[in-house]
Amino acid sequence: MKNCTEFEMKIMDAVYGESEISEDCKSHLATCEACQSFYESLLELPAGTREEIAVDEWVVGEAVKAAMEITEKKNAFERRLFLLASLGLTGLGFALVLNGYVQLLRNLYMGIYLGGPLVLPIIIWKRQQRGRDHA
Amino acid sequence: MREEGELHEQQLIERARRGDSIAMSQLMRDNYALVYGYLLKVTRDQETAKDVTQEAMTRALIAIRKFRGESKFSSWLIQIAYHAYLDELRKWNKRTVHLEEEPADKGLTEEEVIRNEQMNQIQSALAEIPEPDRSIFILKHEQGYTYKELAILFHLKEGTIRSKLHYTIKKIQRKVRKPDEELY
Repeated sequence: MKNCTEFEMKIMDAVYGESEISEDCKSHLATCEACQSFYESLLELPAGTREEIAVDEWVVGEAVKAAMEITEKKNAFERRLFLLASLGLTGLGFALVLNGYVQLLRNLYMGIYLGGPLVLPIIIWKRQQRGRDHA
Repeated sequence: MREEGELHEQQLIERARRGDSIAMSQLMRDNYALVYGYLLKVTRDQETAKDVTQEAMTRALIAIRKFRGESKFSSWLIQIAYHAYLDELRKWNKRTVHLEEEPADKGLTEEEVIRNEQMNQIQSALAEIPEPDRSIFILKHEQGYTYKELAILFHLKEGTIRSKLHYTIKKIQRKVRKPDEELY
């Protein structure tokens, strides 16, 4: 047999339009004072004043400005990092060639070309996980 | 040519992703009332609500590339606003919200005075309810979010949302006195 809490939750679902009120719930409601009281006071619970909210242009403007500044800083940092990494790798390549390590350089490139794609699914999966957390 | 305000939300999102500041502003303007309205309810302080709205909008615009459209943009924004609000709470290191001075009931009808009294009672009851229960109630009761949307928003099961909502309603009902239940 269902207790009042279960019926109250069903009443709540019906009031909020989540589901229709069932027949057993209706008959319980007709006889239970506590549930009737719950139902009535839920209907009477004011939903707050729905006053018109004016857009605060300053708040919106500052948010956009801050977001653009932070994104630009992040992008500039990433560009610098990319440039440094590229220069570093190119320099390393030249250093290896000049010191007679052509064979090692070739093996390194082969490793990157062959191994790189194997890491891609992991990177994509990790990005998707992060995206799901933000969605 | 269509006006900026008439652009579809999806188009605005796409443009905002590419760094278009006009689209960003329009998108935030369109959702301002929703975010600010929600934050005003939870913080009960206009200045704090505005600060957190700005913070939430900044975060949303930075992360807009990560929005993949799996949920409604407004729900995604509310989720960010909720987390920005929690961070703000942590920053202040307090668990209760600041209660704003209520305006005087001068010049109001009896019905409006009773309604204001009820609203104040609800607000005081809500101030004692922990998060996310408080936000769940506000978003359900005042903004009409579905259980499914709330479950996604708060990373909870629909059943848990229902239980939390029921618990909050019961708590509020105990606090809110009906006019005819006045003690003499």
